[in-house]
Amino acid sequence: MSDRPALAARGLCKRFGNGPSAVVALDDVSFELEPGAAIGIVGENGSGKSTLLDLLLGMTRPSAGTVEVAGPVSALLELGAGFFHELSGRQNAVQMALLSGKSSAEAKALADRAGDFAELGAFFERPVRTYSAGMLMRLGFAVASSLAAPVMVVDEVLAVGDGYFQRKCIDRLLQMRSGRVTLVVAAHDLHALRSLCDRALWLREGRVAALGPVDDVLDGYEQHLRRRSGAGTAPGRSGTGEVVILSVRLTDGQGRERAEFCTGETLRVEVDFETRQPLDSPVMGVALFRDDGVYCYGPNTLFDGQLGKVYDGRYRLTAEFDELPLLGGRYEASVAFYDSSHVYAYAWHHRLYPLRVRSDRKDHGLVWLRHRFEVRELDPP
Amino acid sequence: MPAGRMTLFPSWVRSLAPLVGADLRRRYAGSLLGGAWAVLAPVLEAATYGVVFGWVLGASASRGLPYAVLIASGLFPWIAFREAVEGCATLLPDNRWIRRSRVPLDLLVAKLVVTASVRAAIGLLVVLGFALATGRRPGAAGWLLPPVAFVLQAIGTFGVGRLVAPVAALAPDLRPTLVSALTLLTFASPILYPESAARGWLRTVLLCNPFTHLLRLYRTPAEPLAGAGLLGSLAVATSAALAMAALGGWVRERAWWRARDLL
Repeated sequence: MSDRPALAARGLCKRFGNGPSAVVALDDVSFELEPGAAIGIVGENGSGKSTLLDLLLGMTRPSAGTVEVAGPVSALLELGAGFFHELSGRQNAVQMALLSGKSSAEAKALADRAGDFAELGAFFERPVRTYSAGMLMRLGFAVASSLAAPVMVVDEVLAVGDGYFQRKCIDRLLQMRSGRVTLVVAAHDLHALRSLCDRALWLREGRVAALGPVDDVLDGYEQHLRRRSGAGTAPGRSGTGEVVILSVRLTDGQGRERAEFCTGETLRVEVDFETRQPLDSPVMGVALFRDDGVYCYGPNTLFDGQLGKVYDGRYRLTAEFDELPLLGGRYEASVAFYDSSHVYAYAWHHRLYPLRVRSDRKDHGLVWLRHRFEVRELDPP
Repeated sequence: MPAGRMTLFPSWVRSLAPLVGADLRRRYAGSLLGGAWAVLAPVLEAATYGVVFGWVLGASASRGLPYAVLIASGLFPWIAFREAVEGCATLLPDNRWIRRSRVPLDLLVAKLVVTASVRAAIGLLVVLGFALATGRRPGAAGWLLPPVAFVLQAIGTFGVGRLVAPVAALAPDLRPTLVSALTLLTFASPILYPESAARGWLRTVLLCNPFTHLLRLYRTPAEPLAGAGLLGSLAVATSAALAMAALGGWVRERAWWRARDLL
């Protein structure tokens, strides 16, 4: 294996404009990626993610610093960018391949593969001006991922596609990773980034706020987002629909439905659900949030090692919390069913089930942790 | 371009033909005659000029060249140039997506130039057709020079386009200025009138204008050039085309990155 990194950014700075009105979009960003590594780029809007990707692709020149890329890079940056609207999907695929330096025969073969992957049907032969945003994303991803470049850069466009195609894209990216393709992915879908990437870079106002293992960086970023919004992510329902949550009941240890619990009591979350098709090893989870959005705890069957079964029909999932450690306050429960890779949600009811916890304890904080105090007299100095 | 694959032209040249074809089809999409309009429209235009100037107003062309032929051989190449240059002036604002794509600016400029050149090609065919129909014998050089002029015009226009596209994005004032300059240049070139009609300072202006020499080359089948005149015009037209190509490349290299950041 070569010691040469697949991608190296060193001291990257990008300033737009001159003088006092100049805007610093990126300031001293450095990182290296080995072949086959994957890095997720996160940050709020305007944090410099797109500028960084543009610099990595050579689409703009850095004000300072250097970028080194070992080999060609394929990219999916903006919906429809680079497509000629009068040409068909197939013709555009050929054009993209030709512009990437492929021969005519290679370009035609690539267009066939991209057409199969994009599943656009008859639309593949129609002008792309007739395409919806989702179809543009399908075509763009299909072409970019078919170019077989050793490095691929993707910027926040996957969210445009439907659940089915998002999953297909993520599967393709995972395959590419296992084929030692180096990935740089900017996204707001932190679940997807956790599954796709081994490292993450958090940009804040153009500077590196954190760079390191994906879970460490994304945990910090999520915490930052919660602090900023004063709450966690908003309650709601989402998912691709392979699982339908029929009902959710919060009960005590005797199975009585309740809305109020005491610290130390048993809390059961009973979820009746139905699968719309046979599902192999779905991840099922329950999470508890304080009503201001603070994430308290979120176990699932993946972390507990309880996968490996095919589900097809109606079931009841029960999550039981013995000796509920939460201190007094208002809380909300979330219920989620994910695919086996824990990337995309079949069904996710987020913070939809409220409960109140009463506590006669005077402890401060979120949870009661088993503890003891001991005071010993120290030897005289 | 992948290592080891050497070609005379940049790889984007392979993308040009389908884009030009699609652009021409789009222009006449839905019309009864379709692509035939690409030929019919300029021919009708030339005929109109011929009727109005040559017949109604009684304007005279040079050396027995019918006014319609004079117009076709002058106005069409000129419109092709003007259309391409004006298109390049709005190319980047009209295609902001290019900032985040790998489509080369040169491909979009070349597409405009080639699409616009269809008119110039029709002007060329009108002159060649007239020469054939009237039994003129301009010699081998006379037959060859119009296609040479066509290629020189395309090279020069491509250079101007590469210059104008990024500079007009950086300095939007260039666009209206350019329109006025091109209008002025329309009358400072022997497009709507024969060169022989110019006297005094206007003749000096015409001789300093490379487009005059280009039009001489276009018109050789109908108005043969000879000796020093032919070589002089060929030299001026070639030098101007190559100079514009070089200048366009130089400016594009410097201005494109700054323009891209502004989009």
